[in-house]
Amino acid sequence: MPRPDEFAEEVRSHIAHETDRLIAAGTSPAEAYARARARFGNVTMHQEEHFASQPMRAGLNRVTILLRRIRRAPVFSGTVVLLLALTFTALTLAGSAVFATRFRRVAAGHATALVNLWTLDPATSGNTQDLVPGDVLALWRGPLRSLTAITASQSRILRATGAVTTTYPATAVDGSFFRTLELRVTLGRGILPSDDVVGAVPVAVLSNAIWRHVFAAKPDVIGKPWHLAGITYTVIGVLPAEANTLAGAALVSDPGHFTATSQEWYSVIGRMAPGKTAAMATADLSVLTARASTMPGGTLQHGALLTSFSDDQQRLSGIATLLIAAVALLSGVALINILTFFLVRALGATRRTAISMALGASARTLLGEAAMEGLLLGTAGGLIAVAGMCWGRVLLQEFVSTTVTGDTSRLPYSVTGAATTVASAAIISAIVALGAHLAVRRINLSRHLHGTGAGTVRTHNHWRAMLVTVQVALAFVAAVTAARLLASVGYTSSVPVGYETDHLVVAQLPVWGTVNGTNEGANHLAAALAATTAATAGLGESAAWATLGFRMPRSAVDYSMVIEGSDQRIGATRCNWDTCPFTIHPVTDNTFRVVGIPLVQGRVFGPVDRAGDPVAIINVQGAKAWFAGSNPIGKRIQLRGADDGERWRTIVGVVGNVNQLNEMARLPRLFRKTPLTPAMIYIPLGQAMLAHAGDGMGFPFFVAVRSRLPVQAAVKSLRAIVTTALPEIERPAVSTMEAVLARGAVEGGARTNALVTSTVALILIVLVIGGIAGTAAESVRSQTREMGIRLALGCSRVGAIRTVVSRIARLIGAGLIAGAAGWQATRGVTQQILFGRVVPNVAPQGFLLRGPDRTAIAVIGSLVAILVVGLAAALIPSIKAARLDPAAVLRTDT
Amino acid sequence: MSTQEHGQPLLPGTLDLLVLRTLLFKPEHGHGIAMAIEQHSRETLLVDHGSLYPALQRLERLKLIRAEWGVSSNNRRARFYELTARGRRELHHQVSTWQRMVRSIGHVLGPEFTEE
Repeated sequence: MPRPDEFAEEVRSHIAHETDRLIAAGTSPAEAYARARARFGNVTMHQEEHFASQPMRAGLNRVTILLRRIRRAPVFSGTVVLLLALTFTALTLAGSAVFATRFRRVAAGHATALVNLWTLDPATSGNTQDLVPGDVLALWRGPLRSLTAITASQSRILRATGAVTTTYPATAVDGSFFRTLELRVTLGRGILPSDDVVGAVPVAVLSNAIWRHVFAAKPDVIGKPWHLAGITYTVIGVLPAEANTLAGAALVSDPGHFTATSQEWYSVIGRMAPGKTAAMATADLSVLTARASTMPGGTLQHGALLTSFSDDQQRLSGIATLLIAAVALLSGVALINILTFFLVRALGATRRTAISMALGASARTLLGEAAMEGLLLGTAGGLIAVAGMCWGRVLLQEFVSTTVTGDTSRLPYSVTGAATTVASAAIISAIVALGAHLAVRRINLSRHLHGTGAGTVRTHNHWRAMLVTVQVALAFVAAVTAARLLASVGYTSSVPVGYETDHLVVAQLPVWGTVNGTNEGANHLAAALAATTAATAGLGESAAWATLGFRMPRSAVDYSMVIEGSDQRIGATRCNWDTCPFTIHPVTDNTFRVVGIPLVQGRVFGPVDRAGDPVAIINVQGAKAWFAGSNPIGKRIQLRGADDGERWRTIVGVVGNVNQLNEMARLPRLFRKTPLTPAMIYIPLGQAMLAHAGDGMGFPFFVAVRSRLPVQAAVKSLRAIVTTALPEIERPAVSTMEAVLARGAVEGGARTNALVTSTVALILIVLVIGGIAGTAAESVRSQTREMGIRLALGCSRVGAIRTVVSRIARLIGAGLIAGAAGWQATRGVTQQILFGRVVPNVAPQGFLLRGPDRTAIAVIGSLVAILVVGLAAALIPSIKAARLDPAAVLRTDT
Repeated sequence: MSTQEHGQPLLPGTLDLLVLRTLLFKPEHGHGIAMAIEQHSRETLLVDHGSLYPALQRLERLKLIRAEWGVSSNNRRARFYELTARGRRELHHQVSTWQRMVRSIGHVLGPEFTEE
């Protein structure tokens, strides 16, 4: 067998000999050379076939040929590379998120012996896990056979004082935390029992992330003071990176707090004694829990529950699971697209494959060639994916840290990770290419060369038609779903707050329990603030309101409501933000005017209501949900909160809907199981059940002014007023309402969720549209030879183009019809998953906010996009092919 | 495209036989082999030049012929093919098979179609 370079020379020699012969016969040299070339046929194709039949030792030449072949199909190659890049960017992002959570290292030593300890909630017959009350914890701390150590902690929000108020989530821990968890430190030391005695200096062990980002990873941080609102901690240590999720910003001491028997609730972790079982520990702790409930004033809790500390640390949140599923869906769509591309390409190249086999190329050689082509395309896609990760990791870190609370310390994309991405893309692409090649090999290739070619062509057309139709159908369903995702995100981002935020400056006061122990305190505070505000030139009028209820999910308050004349009880005991159908807001008389909430019906509160008959105002959403079709004014409701007793409150007015009254009120967050616009009940601040609301966890209290002063001046004035009225608050959080809303969106993860969802939807759209473009283009390209025959037989160029393009158009049309049918069949399930099932008066339990119905736009948009892209992708290569010389077209082979 | 304005395309499977026969008495390069087949068939059989080389490579792989570079009468470098001993045996075998086939077909067609 000649080497590839020898064969090339042999071909040149042959053409030269034929040229010599023709010249000798009287033909001009130019004409002789052209005829000799024509007589020999497609030189390139013969050379490629010769290389293809070579053993693998001609690897370099083979790669060159393959690269040339890839370059000759730019739309196909470009689309496959793009799809692979997108797929592997998405897969790597999802994989990293899983890695950062499910497979992250647990910081504690001998973590398998650690258990989270819970008491059970009697109100739900033991179905709900609950934190451990102080009195139960005190009993649990006694000698136990089954546990060697026990430690308690509590979440805290630390506010750093500076030019800008910064909040850090942190964890306050007792003196046995480090010993129980066998937690090591990177620098300094951990919190010891001696740090947990009354009178000890407050200390902090910084998380690795806060040490790096706030303290610039300086080793001399040990011993330095860390000034936070009201407390100055001494930094005594730095945690390792894998303990980031355990600590938030820091683990801090709260001297004496954990030793007192109080009604506080704690997170408790225990270490199992060697040889003891979870059942033995549960029995031990249950006995003690029961003893606490029989003590005077003891907390009524049932039993004890043990869960694995490691499992809890590594659990994926529902949102993360959903998004990973979305990425898996994208990857599936992309891989189907890529498979379709390779199938269409392999079908188009059947003749070439048949010739190669006839020339003696072994099946192994052809398989190697198919795999090599996939490998080359996959490598290119993988390299682009790695470049995409440079952008993606920023998104990923934000997503993981805010949504799945994973360990972000391991997210920076390493060289190993990049290599893994490229290798995976290359290998998967090669496998898909091989699969496509093998599938096409099932067609009898020899028929293509001998005799019954027409039948084979018909078979090819049949396969190609089926592939394009199925792909268009899938693309249509995916595109409509993606468009609806985008519409939902757009709706969430653009939802109005329901009032005018301009010039509205608000102070958020962390009012713990009640003010001065009674609701009168709140009234006095509001009145004092109002008087001082009025006395400040130009500041305007101040209003105050609170948000009662479910700030803390384990509040034991009964938040249900009964409408007079109806047996229906709305709400439930122990509502939390995700499940309660309404919120209660005590407000001052002027809140509606100052904040700008419009009155729709009836009247707003006045001075008479401060101590008069119990009254309430509801919003439009509440009126619609509870009094649909009837006038709510004059109707009476009973709020079953403890301190509201059996009082019936008369509804005196209906006001406009408000979506974000403060950062804790129902944010328009994606993936929340609550309606965007909640039903709200306003009650006069003077009639509020504030004494009850102070169950040890507090509630947010807001003071707002709509000022004509410059914003900074208004913020400064309001801060001064609040500091004077509440000197214990060193630096109250005062800012514009717009800043509060923006921060709420960030803290609530709404922005991240919207970003991730939009990205997923956009990638999905690119994948499906790209898929259609690539398949249509490759399908037309593989019909170049047929176009050449038509042109040679006298068909006009326009006619040849029309024939090929109209064939693709028919397939796209059939695919769209099939897609519409598929979408119609699956829309119910899709809607239920994404937006929840619609049940009157019940919040949908889906993952996205439904918003206005944009289905028609999504359907028409997807239809037009697929048609336009598909036809354009078919038209461009067919016009290109029609411009070629028919003889040249006939000599080419796909 | 092996069909030309004059002459006939080769019957499938006959190219190997014709190549071996052409090389029986002297080595020849690819173009020479194609020309020889056309001339000896009085330009009745036309060889697709591009398809000749896969056949030559197949025969070379089967060790029925061998090749080496030389210089042609046109003073051009060319790859000359030569029959091997195994090739001679194969030629003898294929010629016998072909003659049997022609006789058999002739019997089927009958004397009225036999060209004397």
